[in-house]
Amino acid sequence: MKARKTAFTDGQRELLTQVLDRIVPSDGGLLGAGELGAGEYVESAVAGSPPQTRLFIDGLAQIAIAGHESQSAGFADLSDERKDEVLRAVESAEPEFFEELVRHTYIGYYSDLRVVAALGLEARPPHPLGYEMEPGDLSALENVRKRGPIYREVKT
Amino acid sequence: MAKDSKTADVLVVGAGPSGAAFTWSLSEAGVDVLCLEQGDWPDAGAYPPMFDDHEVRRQGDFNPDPNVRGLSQDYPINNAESSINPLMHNAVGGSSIHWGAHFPRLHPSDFKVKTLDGVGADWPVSYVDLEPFFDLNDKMMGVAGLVGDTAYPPKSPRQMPPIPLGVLGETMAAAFDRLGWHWWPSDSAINTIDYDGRKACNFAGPCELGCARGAKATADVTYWPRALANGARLATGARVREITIGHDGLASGVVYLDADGAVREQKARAVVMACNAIGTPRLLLNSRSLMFPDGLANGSGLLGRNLMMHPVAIVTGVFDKEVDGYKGPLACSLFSHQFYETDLTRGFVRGYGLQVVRTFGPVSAALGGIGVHARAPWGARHRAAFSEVFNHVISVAIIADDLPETANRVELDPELTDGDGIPAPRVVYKTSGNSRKMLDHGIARATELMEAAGARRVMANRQIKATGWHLLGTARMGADPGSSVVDAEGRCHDVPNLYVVDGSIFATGSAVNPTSTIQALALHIADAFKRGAGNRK
Repeated sequence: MKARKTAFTDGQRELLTQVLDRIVPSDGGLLGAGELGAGEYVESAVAGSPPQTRLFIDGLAQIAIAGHESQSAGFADLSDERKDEVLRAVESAEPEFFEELVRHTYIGYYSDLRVVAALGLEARPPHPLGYEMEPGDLSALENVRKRGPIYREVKT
Repeated sequence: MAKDSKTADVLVVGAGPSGAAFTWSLSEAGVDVLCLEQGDWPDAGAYPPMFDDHEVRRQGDFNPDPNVRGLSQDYPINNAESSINPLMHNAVGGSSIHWGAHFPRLHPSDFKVKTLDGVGADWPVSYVDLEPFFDLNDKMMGVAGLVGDTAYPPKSPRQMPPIPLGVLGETMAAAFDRLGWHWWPSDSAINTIDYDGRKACNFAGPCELGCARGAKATADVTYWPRALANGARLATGARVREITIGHDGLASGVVYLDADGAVREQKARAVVMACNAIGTPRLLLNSRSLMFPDGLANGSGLLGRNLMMHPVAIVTGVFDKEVDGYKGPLACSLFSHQFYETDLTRGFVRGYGLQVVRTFGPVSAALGGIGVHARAPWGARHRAAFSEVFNHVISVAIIADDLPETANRVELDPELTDGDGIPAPRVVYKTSGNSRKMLDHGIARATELMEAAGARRVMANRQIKATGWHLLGTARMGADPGSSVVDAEGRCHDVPNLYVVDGSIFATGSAVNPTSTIQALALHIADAFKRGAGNRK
C-alpha cells in the first residue's frame, strides 16, 4: 500500500497550526512554527504510519477537549497563557504523543530554509558547495613537542 | 536450492572497511575472491547532505542505528539489555559510509594489556608487527595529519596536511595549551588535498550522512575500485545466512539469499568473515551443525563474548562567541591522549582519549543529541534556549578503554529475525565499574578544559547510549585455542580455512577509534594468507 501523505481533517489541521504556534512561538522577525507551515511536515511525517496517525488524532482530540474543559472555548480562542496551560496538561497526561509532537515540530521547523536563513546560515544544503575554513594556528604544538613523548614504551 | 557452479578460492562476507582491505590485498596477488554484501552500492549523489532535508533524514533512513532505519538490508538488534546501542551501516563501504573518519592507531601498550596492567589479555600481534600494515593502509586510504605526535612512536609521513582546526579547534587548542596537556590535530581519513583521484574536502560538515564529494576515504571509493580492477568479484544484495561445513570439518562455503530473495549456495575453499563484531558472531552462531552444535568456531565458548563498544561521555561548553561547529568534519579536529596510558593514582586501570567534536545543524540543536544534551524546551522559553546553544557549543567526547568481560555478549535472539527470517542478534552489555571511573575522571578533566577555554556554562552527559560505533572483541584473537577464537593470523582455531578480519578479533578495546587498526589487521591477515596460500584446503 502506498504511504499516505495526509492524515488530518481541516479542523485538525487548524488546531495543529494553533498548537505549533505555542510549541515554537513567533519571535519578532521569525514566524511561529504553525504560521510558518511546519504542520505540513508534521502531518506528512505521521501520515505514513498508522500508529503515529492514531497517536496524533487522539492527542489533538485531547487538546481540543482540554481547551473546552478549561474555558468552554475552542483552543484558538484561549489566551496564550491558557493555551500553554492546556498543552502542559496534555503533555503530562499523554507524554508519548507530546514528545512526538515536539520532535516532529522541531524537525519540520528547523529544516525549513527560511528558518535556516534567519539563523544566519546559508539557505542551502551542505553539499555540493561546502564551507570555507581557515587553516588555524598550530604554533602551540611546539609546547607539546617540548614536553616529549607520553606514550608507554613496550618491550618487543 | 540454486548452486553457484564456480567454487571461489576465497569468499569474503561483508564489503566494509575490513572486507575491502582484505579483498584488495588478495586481488593484488591474483587470488580469486568473491565478496557477498547484503547492502547495495551507495549512490553518493543521493547522500542526504545534497538535499535540504538532510537533518530530517538523520532521524530516519540515514540514522546510524539499524533499528531506527529498518531498511530491508538491515537486521534488527535487540539492545534492551545494553547500555550502548550498536550502530552500523549495510552497504558497499559498510559503516565507513556514516563514519567520522577519525583515524588514530592503537598505542603500542594496547597490545600488551595483560603484561603491562594485569587485566584483559595480550594480543598475539604487536604494534611493531602491524606498523607496515598501518603504513600501507594509510597510503591506500589517504590520511590528513601531522607527524611528530608525542602520544605515539614516530609515524611515517602523513599523506596530506591536517584538517583545519577552525574557530572551534583553535579555542580548544588554546585551552589544552593553557593546562599544559597533550593535544594534536587528528589523523583523519579525509582528503585535504586532491588525492588518489578523489577531491579535497569542502568542509561541508555532516560526514556521518555520507560524503557526497568522495573526500572521505570510505571503502567503496578507496579499496573497492582497485580490488575490482584486479578482478575481485562483489555481489550486492547477497545476504549470507550460514557458513556451511564439509565432512572434513572445514568451511565449504555459504548459504545466502540473493537480491531476488532466492536461496543459493556458494562453495569456497576459504571463508572470511568481515561483518563487524555483531554480524560475525551472529552468522557463526547461526551456523550450527552436528559437528559444531554451539556455533561454528566456538570451541572456546567465547564466540560472541567479550563484546566491547567504547563507553562515551560528552562534556559540552557553551560559549558567547559563534564557533561555526557545523562547518568541517564532525569528528576530526583535534584530540588529546593526556590520560590515555595507565596511571593507577587516578583510581582506575588503563585510560581514555579526549576527542574534540564539531556539532550538527539546527534540527539536532533543537532535538538534543551529541553536544546538546537535552531537547530544547517548547513554549515561551524555546527561543532563548535554542539560541543559547545553536552554533555556540563545543563538545569533547571522553572515549574510555573497554576491557573484555565475558558477560558482555552477542547471542541469537530467540524470536527476533531480519526480513528474511534469519535470527537477529541480542546484545547484552553493561558499562564496567572501571570504565565508569574513567568516564567520571574524564568528565572532571573535560570540565576543567572547557573552563580554561572560556565556556560560560558546562554540561556533562555521563554516558550516551547511541554511541556503539566501535564494535569489537566477539571473536578474540589469541595464541591459546582455549581462550580465543582466532589465531594471530585471523584463522579460527577450530576451522582452519575460516577467517575473521573485522573488529571481532580485538583482544582488548583500546580507547581510540578502531578502523585504522581493523584495516591494518585485515591487511596483516591477508599477507599471512598469501604467504600460506596453497597449504590450505
